[in-house]
Amino acid sequence: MFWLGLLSGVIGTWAVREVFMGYPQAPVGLKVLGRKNSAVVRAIGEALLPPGGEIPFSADEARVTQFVDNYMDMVPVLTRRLMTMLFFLMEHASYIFAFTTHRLSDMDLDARIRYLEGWEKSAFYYRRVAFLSLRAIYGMAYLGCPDVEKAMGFRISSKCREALLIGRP
Amino acid sequence: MIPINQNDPHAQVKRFSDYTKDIKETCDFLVVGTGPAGSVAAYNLSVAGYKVVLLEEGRPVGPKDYVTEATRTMKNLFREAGLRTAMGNIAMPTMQAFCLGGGSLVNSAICIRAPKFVFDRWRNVHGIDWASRENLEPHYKKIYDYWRVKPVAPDIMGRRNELFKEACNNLGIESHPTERNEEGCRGCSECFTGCPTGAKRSTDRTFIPDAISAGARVYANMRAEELIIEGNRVTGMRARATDHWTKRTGPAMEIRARCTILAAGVMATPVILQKSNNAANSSGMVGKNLIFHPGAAIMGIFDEVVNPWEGATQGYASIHYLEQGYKLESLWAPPAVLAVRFPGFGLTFKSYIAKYKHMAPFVAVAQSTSTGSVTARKKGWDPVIKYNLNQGDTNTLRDGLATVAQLFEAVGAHTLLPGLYGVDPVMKADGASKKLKDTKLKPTYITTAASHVFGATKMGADPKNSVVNPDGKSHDLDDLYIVDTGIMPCCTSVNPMFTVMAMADRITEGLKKKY
Repeated sequence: MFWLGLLSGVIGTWAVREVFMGYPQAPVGLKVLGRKNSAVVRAIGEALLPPGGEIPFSADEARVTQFVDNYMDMVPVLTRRLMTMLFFLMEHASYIFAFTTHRLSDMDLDARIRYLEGWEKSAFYYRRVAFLSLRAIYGMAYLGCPDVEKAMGFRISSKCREALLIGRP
Repeated sequence: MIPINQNDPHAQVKRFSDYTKDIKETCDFLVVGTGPAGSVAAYNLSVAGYKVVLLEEGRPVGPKDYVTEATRTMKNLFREAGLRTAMGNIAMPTMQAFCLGGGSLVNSAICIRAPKFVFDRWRNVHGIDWASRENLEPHYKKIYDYWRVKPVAPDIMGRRNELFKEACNNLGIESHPTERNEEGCRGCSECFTGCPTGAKRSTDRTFIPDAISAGARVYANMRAEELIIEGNRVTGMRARATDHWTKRTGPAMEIRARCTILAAGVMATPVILQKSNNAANSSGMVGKNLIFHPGAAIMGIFDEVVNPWEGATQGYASIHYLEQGYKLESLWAPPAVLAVRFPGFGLTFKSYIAKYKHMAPFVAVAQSTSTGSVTARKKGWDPVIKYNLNQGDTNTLRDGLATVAQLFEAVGAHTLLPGLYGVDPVMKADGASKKLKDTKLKPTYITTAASHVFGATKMGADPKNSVVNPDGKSHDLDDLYIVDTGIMPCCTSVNPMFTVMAMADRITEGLKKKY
């Protein structure tokens, strides 16, 4: 009984630490994302959209965390809850899918990429859908950044720009 | 006639800020919903001299409200901020407009007649005696002429649409420039996020102002909540002012009408009926028989610069394989939406974003036999949507995608991003079609989406398995009609807007004789 109690205490302490503690301060000015979710959003962003390459801007430089925060503020309550659950799932399902004692935001970059690849290529449909949802959020955030749009060559033709400025044909 | 300011066609539409106390209205016809079907019904009846009230839950929006950023647009224009999803053996996004003018604001403005075999099926299987292309043609023509429908002009086609055309020509299959309700389109490819130039002749800029001019009263931000039923007659509707942007509700409204016409859309009309003590549902078919046109796209990568964001959103299409079950189209959507299918992580993922200007997406849209349901929740107005994609439709989509791959190969794409599970995420265009054709795809292997919706208040001769009769009247209740695409007993195989407008025109011609 003593040992069972001790084990429960250790697991409980570890679980509380994993779920609630050790997250850095959230960036200033966020409306919805707290310490934990802003850390998760940032950790995923580092894996999906690192600096360098043909489009040099990283997720951080494209202000992805701020975008996600703004987006979550905008969507209906039910959707916001689902998004929060999605981040929670991504953060803590690592114990099962990556066979590690680290949560996603504490993994090193390579391990994080391998873990997320597991979601992308999973044989379980709803795991893939969860990753697609995540990719959609990051896609909107990243491609919503004017610097990224410019780097990818996205431009509106002059005849449309003229109309957009006027607001009328 | 009331003069309409063409620079501000919404000026006389009442909106949330106008509602300061409870409202009572009486009219000949109450029309619920301002999408393509409801607008046609309201316009026809107003012009004929009837007293018409038109309700819309969404708000009026115009070019000044449109932004290219996907999230803000989705919140601005779509139900559930554009994140509505049908759930079943797959999770399928489905977007419904939430604004004055409904789907006509956010679709590609495609006006195409349904093929003959669709009407044959409606007539032979569902007992809709009038169903034929010939019988609907006068109504098609009326809409076509009023809306000044015309093919996409070559100068706004853009390279993406030209590639589709060249691909079809190279394979020797039928293709055509899409016909659209627009005047002065500049080919911005922004149809899905609201026409920024106001060139799209959506119903909020055409039918609705003209209905107002003829005397109709239009209440936006007004949610139809419950039919008023007395004995076997529907005598009106209870509604509530609502502003989805701020989540506020306002005063109540009670409208008494000689006849009520529901045109709230396939997802909302069943909810209104179900929340009206399950009205008009002796058949048990309200909310059942939900049908979609599921679609899937392949992204082709070319050596040349395509700039896919230039040109008409959907400028070219092919109905060559319609009888085999699918339609082929050129497509553009917000870049962030299409990027979901890009494979890989980190620098690989970003390298595909960098190649965007060399890409073009072509899409296959399947005629579907899969069905689902739409059910009102006890609380709230967003329904539970269930849908299972069956293996037959999955095979049709696979065949469609194999043909899309053939198109890309025929026009010189070197690489394809098929966006399918169980298939290489990056394929050489050469030979991709055969590989796709030989692949055994399960429904869950396809990333699909659908916004053409049908069937949840189906039309038919038999009251035991349909909700409305061939004239659009409820089998169960007098003075209640439905005109949205929910009455279509099966899908139209092509974009449904033009057909539902023609059907609404036909039904209201009947109403003019009856009332």
